[in-house]
Amino acid sequence: MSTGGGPLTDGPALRSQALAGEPLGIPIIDAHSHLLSPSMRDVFVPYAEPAQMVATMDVYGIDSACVSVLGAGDANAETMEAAAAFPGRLIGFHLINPRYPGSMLEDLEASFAQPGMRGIGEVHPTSYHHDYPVTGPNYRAAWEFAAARHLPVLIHSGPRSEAHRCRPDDIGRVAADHPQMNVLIGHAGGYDSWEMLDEAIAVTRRLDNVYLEICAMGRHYGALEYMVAKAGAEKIVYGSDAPFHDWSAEIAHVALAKIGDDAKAAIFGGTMTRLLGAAR
Amino acid sequence: MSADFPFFDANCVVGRTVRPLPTAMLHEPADILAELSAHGVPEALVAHANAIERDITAGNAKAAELARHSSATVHPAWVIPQHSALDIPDPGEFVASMLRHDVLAVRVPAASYHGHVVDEWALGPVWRELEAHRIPVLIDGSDLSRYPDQPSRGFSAANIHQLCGTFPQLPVVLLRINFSCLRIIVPLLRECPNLRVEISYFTAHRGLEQLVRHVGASRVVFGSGLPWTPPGPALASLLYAEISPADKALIAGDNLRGLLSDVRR
Repeated sequence: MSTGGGPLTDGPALRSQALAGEPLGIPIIDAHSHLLSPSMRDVFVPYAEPAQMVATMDVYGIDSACVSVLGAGDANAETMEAAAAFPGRLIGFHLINPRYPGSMLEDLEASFAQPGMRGIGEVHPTSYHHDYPVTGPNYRAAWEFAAARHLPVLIHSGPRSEAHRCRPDDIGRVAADHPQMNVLIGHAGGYDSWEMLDEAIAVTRRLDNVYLEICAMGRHYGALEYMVAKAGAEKIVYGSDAPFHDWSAEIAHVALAKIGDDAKAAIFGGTMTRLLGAAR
Repeated sequence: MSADFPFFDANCVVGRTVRPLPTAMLHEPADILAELSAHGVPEALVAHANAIERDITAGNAKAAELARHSSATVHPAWVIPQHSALDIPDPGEFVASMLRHDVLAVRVPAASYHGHVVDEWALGPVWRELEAHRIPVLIDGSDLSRYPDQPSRGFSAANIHQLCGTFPQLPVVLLRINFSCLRIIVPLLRECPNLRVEISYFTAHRGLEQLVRHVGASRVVFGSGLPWTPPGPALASLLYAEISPADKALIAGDNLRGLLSDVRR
């Protein structure tokens, strides 16, 4: 076991487990993962079947993953099936597509008649997905649906080139208008821009119902410590973006961060447990 | 456990950077080496930030000086410009100087200008000399290492293919391959037996298992990406990977150790 004696001084228990390559002995909920086809156009995605996902989660000790499909918005049945097949392990998030506003509410009601559906997302306003600004009126039915049920809503933010579609301040406007829904800013708004991250942090500090979800931030040295110092661990949730990315990156990001084990516990699962528990 | 494998960092940069992150980013060599040690990584191939970002000669001198005053587990890597015909007119003397300083690897940042030109006439004569001595070349900055949202720059996959074919005995290590490159990197590695890839930025889902399955563990080397990226993601991807302990040991450090020991002095 590495003991080092270097700058890593906090959170020793989880750090030791991660450096041993062992499942982490702490409740972990992944707030941001997907159900993807291995035959995706742009990225080869192996081991992406729901059973394979759950098997890989076991390697790390991940208890649950909030999963959603991407695309046109006509494949939420896949999420429902996966959530039903792995109750408690795969938690369904419903994909909404603002380009089809007419069926949005009906689709949501059908989804949430299923017990495994617990949130909305990943809302993807970017030009390379739905290409529709997060502040646009076509989302309104979904926001009202989420607010009525206190649902967590994961909204993608970043990169910088997509600021006109989903910048943190705009996500904050949506959250401020619907204080009963809990908003997770995907990728902590940061992705490739510290200015966007700072903006997302400011939104979480300003609004009780906004949280930072951290996937893709683990590749920046010190990013989590920076977020914890400015936003507080209780406003940050672990996410992986698996199976686009491997689960290991953000597992390491949190487990090896120079923050206390209590903070790691909040990020890994404490806050998401509370948010999912609030959902009706 | 990380201590069970002989970790050797192929991608470590020390020294003050031009555009530091707004985090508690490390710069001092002692801090960076301590950070590696705290993660169970005792050995590193180290280049200097000044050489990568601005002044190659001054930065290389600092890298050599650091290694001279450090333990035997700190190995200097010198930076050379991608197009070096004017900078290194006497390749024999340059490589002899490297070897006198125990510099057994070079690092080549993608040129900001004409980065997609990798013909031998443009790269300069030192590349043939590096090949003769089997000195590993670390390629820093390529289409295979950028995040997909970022603009294209530097060495393309076709450039790497051309480079490896032009210098078939030259060990080439492509630094920080990205999560989305599997469809390209696997056939590229199959085509280029002298190519290896470094994983500090490689977050493909079960990506290590894929690389080991398709091209073998001998083609993959561990790197931290410090100071810009933390060592944790690459460490965890390897420690948790469902591959054999022998393959983990190769990737953790034995492959890089082997490349350096194969250098012909």
